[in-house]
Amino acid sequence: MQKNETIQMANIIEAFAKINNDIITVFDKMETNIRLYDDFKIWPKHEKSRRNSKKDYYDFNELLDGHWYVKNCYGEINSRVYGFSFLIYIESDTDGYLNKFVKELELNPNAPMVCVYGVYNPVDPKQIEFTYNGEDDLEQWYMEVVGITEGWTTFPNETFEFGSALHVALEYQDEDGSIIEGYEKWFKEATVKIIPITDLDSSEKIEEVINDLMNLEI
Amino acid sequence: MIEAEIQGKVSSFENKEDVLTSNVFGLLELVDYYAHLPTLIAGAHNIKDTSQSFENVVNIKNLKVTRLTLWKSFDALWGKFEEPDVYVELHDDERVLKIIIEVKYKSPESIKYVDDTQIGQLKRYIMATKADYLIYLTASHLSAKHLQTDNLEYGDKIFHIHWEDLNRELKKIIDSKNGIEKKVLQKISDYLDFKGFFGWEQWNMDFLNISSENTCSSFYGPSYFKFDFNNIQTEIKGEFYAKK
Repeated sequence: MQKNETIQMANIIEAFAKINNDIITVFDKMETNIRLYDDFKIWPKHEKSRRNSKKDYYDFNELLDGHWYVKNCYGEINSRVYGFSFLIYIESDTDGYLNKFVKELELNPNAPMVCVYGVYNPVDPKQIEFTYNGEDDLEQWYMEVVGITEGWTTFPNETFEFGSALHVALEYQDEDGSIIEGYEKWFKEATVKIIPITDLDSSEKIEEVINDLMNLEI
Repeated sequence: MIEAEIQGKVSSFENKEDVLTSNVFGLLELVDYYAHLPTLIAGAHNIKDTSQSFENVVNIKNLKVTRLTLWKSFDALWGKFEEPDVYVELHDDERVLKIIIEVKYKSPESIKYVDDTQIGQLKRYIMATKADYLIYLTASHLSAKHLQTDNLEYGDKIFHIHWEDLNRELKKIIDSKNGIEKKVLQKISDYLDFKGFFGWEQWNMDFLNISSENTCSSFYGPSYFKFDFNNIQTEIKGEFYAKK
């Protein structure tokens, strides 16, 4: 390999390291701001040492393996779930459920670099979980967290826009009105917004976004 | 207490403003009796005229703290006492200045009704303590915008500063210190970092030396994202691919 190629590769690695550091900083500041709401009970993320796993959920830091890089922060206030996800890098999903908003927002399908934040109304507040029980559940889990899937009955047909509120609902009941088995842990409706992570460019902006999140109504 | 909080042993104290006050001001006292406090709050901005810093108006860096009391009680005209978080007296050769520091995370100022009239917390403190100035030290950049309107009567006396800005000043001081003083100040800064009160200016892009022909007018986000990674000329042959 020529020397200039090596230099350019090193520059890319350096750029990635610093951008990644900034992404983590922004995420941490988002989390700091949401924690400052007195009634907000943040859900602990999975760590082996934690005993609380009922509402467990994960970050996915597998970027170096070419897979997922998703950071999550969720919690509850008054039986509603509030939180946000940073979708930084995802496996190619050109035919999947992310395709619609990735295309319409003209995002890089592998590196959407968006923050999805919203408020979720659980089917049953006592049973709600962000569970991840193994490889087979990965997609299901991910759909729940992002909250924008083709499973939503009111999945918006209009054009996606950054920062606009998307009101979505899930078909969680049978024809007789009973809750479909397994859906009791999910959400029946939600309001979510999508913004570029790069729009979170100051402490003031981060605080504004968290305030907006905590004032979202379903 | 700081170590217990940082290690997550006292999570129930997470948003307790009195714990934050105690931890920070308790340690600040150890360094030459609050010698650095004037510098730390000098950057506060007036709530009526944000172009005015506390230093511009008061020249506080020339003053020395001679007395500081946490949660000092003051009799109030409305029959009850008021208890601001921090009461400070500062001196120089010509002046004695009395300052109140009210510490907050994100909670709004409390309201009391006196003779059916609503009075905001900051106004009550100034009235009860007869302080020359009040510093509103919060974890919210929006705090100063959400003050009770009756505070505007005392607007010239009220200044707002974010914990982030205080921590930023603290880090500057630490750089020029050594020994025990540096360790104590560093402990306070580490604690404030742990609380999330560290500055965030903007995405760091200075390291990228991208030539002008490789820039584009915008990315998805702010204007300072003036490049497009797809246009970086790497001259690397072949393709990147992920490990499967």
